[in-house]
This record gives sequence, C-alpha cells and structure tokens, in this order.
Amino acid sequence: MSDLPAVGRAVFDGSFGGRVRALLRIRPVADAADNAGRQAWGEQRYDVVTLALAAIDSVIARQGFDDEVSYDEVVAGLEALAGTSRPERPVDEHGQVARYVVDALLNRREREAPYRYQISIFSRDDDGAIRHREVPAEFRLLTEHEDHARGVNVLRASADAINALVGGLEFDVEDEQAAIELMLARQLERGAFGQAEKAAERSRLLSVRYADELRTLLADTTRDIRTVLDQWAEHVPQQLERNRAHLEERLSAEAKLLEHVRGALDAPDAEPTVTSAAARIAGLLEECRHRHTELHGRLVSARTTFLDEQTRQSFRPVASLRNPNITDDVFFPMLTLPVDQAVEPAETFATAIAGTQVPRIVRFADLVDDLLAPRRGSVIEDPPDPDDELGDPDPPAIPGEVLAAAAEVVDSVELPARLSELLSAARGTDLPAEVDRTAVERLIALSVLWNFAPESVEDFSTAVDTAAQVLGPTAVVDADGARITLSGWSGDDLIVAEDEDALGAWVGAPGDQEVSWH
Amino acid sequence: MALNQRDLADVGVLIGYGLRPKLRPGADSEYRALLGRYRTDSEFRNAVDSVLDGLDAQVLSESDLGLVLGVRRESVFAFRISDLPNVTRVTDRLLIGLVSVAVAAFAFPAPADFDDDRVHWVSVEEIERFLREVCERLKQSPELVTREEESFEEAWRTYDRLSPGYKADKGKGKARRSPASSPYWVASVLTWMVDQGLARPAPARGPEAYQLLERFRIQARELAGNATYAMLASMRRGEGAA
Repeated sequence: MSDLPAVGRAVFDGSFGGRVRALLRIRPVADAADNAGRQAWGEQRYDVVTLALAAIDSVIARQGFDDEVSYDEVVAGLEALAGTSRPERPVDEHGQVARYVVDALLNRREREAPYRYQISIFSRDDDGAIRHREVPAEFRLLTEHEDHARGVNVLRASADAINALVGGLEFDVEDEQAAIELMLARQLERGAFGQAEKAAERSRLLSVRYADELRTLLADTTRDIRTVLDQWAEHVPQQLERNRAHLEERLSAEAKLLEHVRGALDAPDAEPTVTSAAARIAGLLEECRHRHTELHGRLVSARTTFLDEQTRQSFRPVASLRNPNITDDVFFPMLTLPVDQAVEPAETFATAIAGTQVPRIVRFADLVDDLLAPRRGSVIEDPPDPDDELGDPDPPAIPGEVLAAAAEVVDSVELPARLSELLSAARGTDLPAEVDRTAVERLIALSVLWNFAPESVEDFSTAVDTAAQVLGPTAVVDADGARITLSGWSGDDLIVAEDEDALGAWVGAPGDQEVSWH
Repeated sequence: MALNQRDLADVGVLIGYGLRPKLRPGADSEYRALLGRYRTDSEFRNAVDSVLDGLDAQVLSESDLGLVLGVRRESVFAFRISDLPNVTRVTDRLLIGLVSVAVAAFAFPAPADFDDDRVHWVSVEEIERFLREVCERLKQSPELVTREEESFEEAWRTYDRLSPGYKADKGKGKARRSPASSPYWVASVLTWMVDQGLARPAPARGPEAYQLLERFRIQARELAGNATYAMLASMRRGEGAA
C-alpha cells in the first residue's frame, strides 16, 4: 500500500462524483463565455457569465406563474444589461450578445440537446488497485415550452439550473425554508439587512423549486398515473397534507415577517441603507407570498387531480397509455411495406394526426363566385429568389409626371362630365414635353373604367390609390348607354361625377348638355 | 340533475369550439367556462363524450390548450388527404402519410420523447435529409437486396425516386417546386400542418423552419401512433395467417 501514489482519499469517495456533477452545471456558462471570443463582438468583452446568470434568474422569477417569461422578454432584459455595460456599442450588437447568451443556455447550437459530459469515477479495490470508469452526465439549463393558454413559447429553468444558482441544496426544502426565515428574522432584529436580503432572495428561489417539484408530480399523474402510483400510495398523501399545513403556516409567517420589515421601514431613525434594503426585502416577501398562495391552490387541487386522473385513465384503453415507438414500430415497418399495402396505414397516420376538419357545405351562390374568381396562386410560398431581391426595384408602372398630368386634366374639366370630355381635354391641354399624351389619355380612361367596374387587378390597393389620385377620392362613375364617339376609343361614354350626389343631379337633367356637346 | 335543452346546446357549443384547432380557451371566456364545466360536471362531460362518440370522434385531451379532438377515419370531421393540392394518385396519398410519420419520428424518435413537453423544431431541409438518410440505410440493408427481385416495390422507393432539388414547372415564370421533387411534399405536409394548428412557422430559426405545437404531440401520442401501429400489427397478423 505504501508504494501507491499519493492521492487524496476523497476522490474514491462515493459522493465525489456528485461534487463533480454539481460543478459541471457551471460549465455550459463557462464555455459560452469562452466561445464569446469567437463572435463578431468578441473583442468587446461582455460579461457573459453575469448575463447568463441574470437570464436564469429572470426565468425563475416568473416560473410557475400564469405569465411565464418568453424568449424575447429574456433577450430584451439582457439587451438592456448589455447596453448599459457597453453604451458606446451599437444596439444591434447588444441584441446579438443577449441572444447568444440565451441560446447558449438553451444549447441551441446542438439543437437543444442536453449538455453531455463524461465524468471519471475512480475507485479502489480491496488490494489497493485504482480502477477508473467513465460515466456520462447529462443535464439542461433552460428549456422552451409552449404556454397552452397563450400559445406563446416560454422558458423554464431546469432543476439543475435552479440548484446551480441557489447552490447545492441537498436537504429538505421545507426545513431549509424554515431555517432561512428564522435567520431573516434574527438578522432583521440585529439590523443586518445586507445578509437578510440575500436570505430572502434564497427563500424565493426555494419556493420556485418547490413549485417545480409539485408540478412534475402532477404532470406525471396526468400523463400516466401508473408511473407515480407507488408514490401516491405511500408518501405523497402525507407529504401533501404536511405541505398544506406547512404552507398555511408559511403564509402567516411571511405575512408577519413582512409586517416586521415594514416596521423597519416606518422606524423614524432608520438609516437610508436600512430602509432601502427593507423595501427591497418587502417586495421580495410580497412575491414569495404571492407564490405561496398560488402553490397552495395547486396543493388543494392535487388530490382532486389524482382522483380525476384515476377515473379517466382507468377507463382508457390500455394500449393508448403506452406510447408506441414511432420510429421502430411505425415508420420503418411502413417504409418497407409494398406500396399498395403501405397506403392505408400511411393515410391513417396522416388523418389521425390532422385532427378535425369541418366539412364545408357548398352554397350555390358562393360556388358561382368561386368559379368566376381569378385563379389563386399556389398555397406553398416559395422563398424569394435571392437574385430577385438584389436587383433594382421595378420602375413604377405609371411615371409620376403622367399621373400628375392626368390629375390636372381632370381638374380642368368641370365634373360631372362624360369620359369623352375628359379625353378631349387631355388631347387639347398643354403638356410638358417629356409626358406621353397617349399615356395620359389611357390613364384617364383606365381610372374611369376601374372606378366603374373594379375587377381582375392583381394589386388592388395600388389601383384604388391611382384612381383616387386621378379622379378624386369620392368620384363615382356610371353608364347610361351613350356610346363614345371620340376617335381611337369605343364603348360606353361613361359619366364621371365628383360624388354620389353630383351623379344623381346629372342623371336628373343630363340630356341637353350631352346633345349640345356633340 | 338531468341536462336540460340549454345544457345540450352548450354541449354543441363546446364541440364547436373543439373543432376550431387554432382557438385557445385563454382567448375566449365562454370556451373557458364550458371547458371548466366539462372538467368538473360529469354529466355534462358524459353528454359531450357521447355526442362525439356518435360523430366518430373522441376527446384526446382537455387542458389550457382547449378540447383536443381525435377522429376516426370514417368521421364526417376526418381530414381527407385528397383535399390537399396535387394529391390525386395513390402514391401522392402515400407520400403525405410517409412524410407525416417522418416528421413525428424525427421530432420524437423514442417513446419517452413524447413525455417531454419541450418545444420541438423541424425544417423542410431537415425532414428531407432525414428521409433521404433513412432511404440510404434501407438501400444498403442486405435483406432488402434479395427482396428487390420480387414483384412489389417497397414504400420508401416512392420517396427515394423523387428529385431532391428544385425543379421548375414548365410555363411558369417563377421557379416553383414541382410535385416530382421531394421538398415539395415535405413543404406541403408542413404547410398543411400549420393550417391544422399542429405547427407554426418559425422564420427566426431559418428558412422554412417550423415549430411543432403541443397539439401535434397530443395527436401523435394519443391517437396517430397507436392507430397506425394497430393497423400495421393486424396486417402482419393477417399476413401470417394467410
């Protein structure tokens, strides 16, 4: 034994691996700080570690509540912090740093896979020989979930992240909490507010972890009651009962403590540092109390959840409790079936995953409209061709000066008027040299026509805008069967009026005017 | 207490809500109230379940997500694959089914993955690559080489034969994916899943990336996987007996 190399005993201890594991929880954050040097903003030396811990903290702050924090919210928070630390840098960069940090905590680079590390476990045989084996350690820090009620994605911190931040808590949550409160009360009495605040902070983080434990149990119960049946039969009922009594106690205890802290606030001779710390603690305790109240509600409903799930799941066919292995039991067998046999199961899967579709009952009137409607484009949007995007924007179909000239021509004619009058005016008016006279004429005719019968236009809003620009925003157009006689044009000689009323007046007494004109 | 006419009307209203997959109870107080009643009032719950049973449908889950309904293929509410654009031939229907299963197998490779409610992401490119790799593996599998001589053709070859890249349709200005290319079918299935409230586009994650929604997980776990597995198993048994 004496010729063995001098190695400390602890490394062979059973709990040594646990310590290594605990330390590893920090590693993704350290790696992220390390890799930050390779980013475009790497030279700026942002404090990635602090930002990462701030991110976890802002996730924990709302975890378990109705409004859990979303990815964008965390990024916005970090962006502000990054901005404050490097105010001279562009805002874009602050956003990049914030996203980099949150993405690192989610392990987005590895498609949200858990962080995996190998741990060396050393042991010593009876004869003193040292043995080595490697075991993997896997964990996540932040995970992204869909908030069912709101439909947005929210972030949650894993137990690993919470523990890494709170610091290796291996003992009973409840007792720890009681201890913290006792400590806080003492510290308040002695005026040791700095430490008291830290203690309050820890107490809040513990509440989060506590809520998380309960959530997991209830989620497991809802999912498949059989996996947690043993727990429910043995220690869960007592635990729930104990928790409930304990929470009730806690609620009153924290209310008392809050009063105590407020007492420090109200004291006339309190020091400014003490009052500000007390105010912060008061805020913290208020949040703890809010959280406990919510937890309490969850606890009260826990037993009902169990009973409901028991009823629900006992009547469910057993097969649906076991998830089939989609890859091995469904996907591969289906791929290797002959085509004609594979269609049925393939279609079954697609139909079952599709959910519901409400059958549409065809109404004749709609059908006619649909059949007459211009053909719609493909449902699947292709990504735009990069070459298209880089090219110059298309020149406007109608040059601005033509548009202006047309509007001027319409202005020069007293409305209501016939289309033929407008067109003649366009032929007679003085136009700048660069303006194409036929284009002006055509634009007037098209505007009038479009106003009369808006249809088959790809870019609807542009057509509306153009017509309004030429004829005026309220213009109306109607036909009375008169034919246009102007050379180069044929069809109805439409009537253009400034608005509905003017058109009505025209229809009342039009005849002589028109006859005299021709 | 027996349900009165009004209650039965509420049964209909709740089922109506359940038939709109994109509606969440968080956004509608009446939906919320009726869902709460479904959870707590057993008589009301039985009425809803019975009506749905008559319609060849069932409640797969009731949560903050709303009432998630699953349907049997014969139900009036069942989706008809042939309603999708360009799905006319038998092989088109096969492709829609194969790609749907591939999306599920890609996102939830092991049964335990269904228990994890983390967000799952997919993209057209990933699914297409995943399917190609599977085809490659099958191509090299030795037992299949011998079977190749037989008269039938395995389902995976239908996918394998598709062109992997873009292919412009003739006579159209812009390059479009042709139904003869595999990305067309993957994109088609994912777009369809968006319409059905199973996924939503995630442009921030890259081109043609999608987030699979909770509804996908529920439909795949509670219904699609088992129904298909049961069918495949019974086909195998039928084959064995014959």
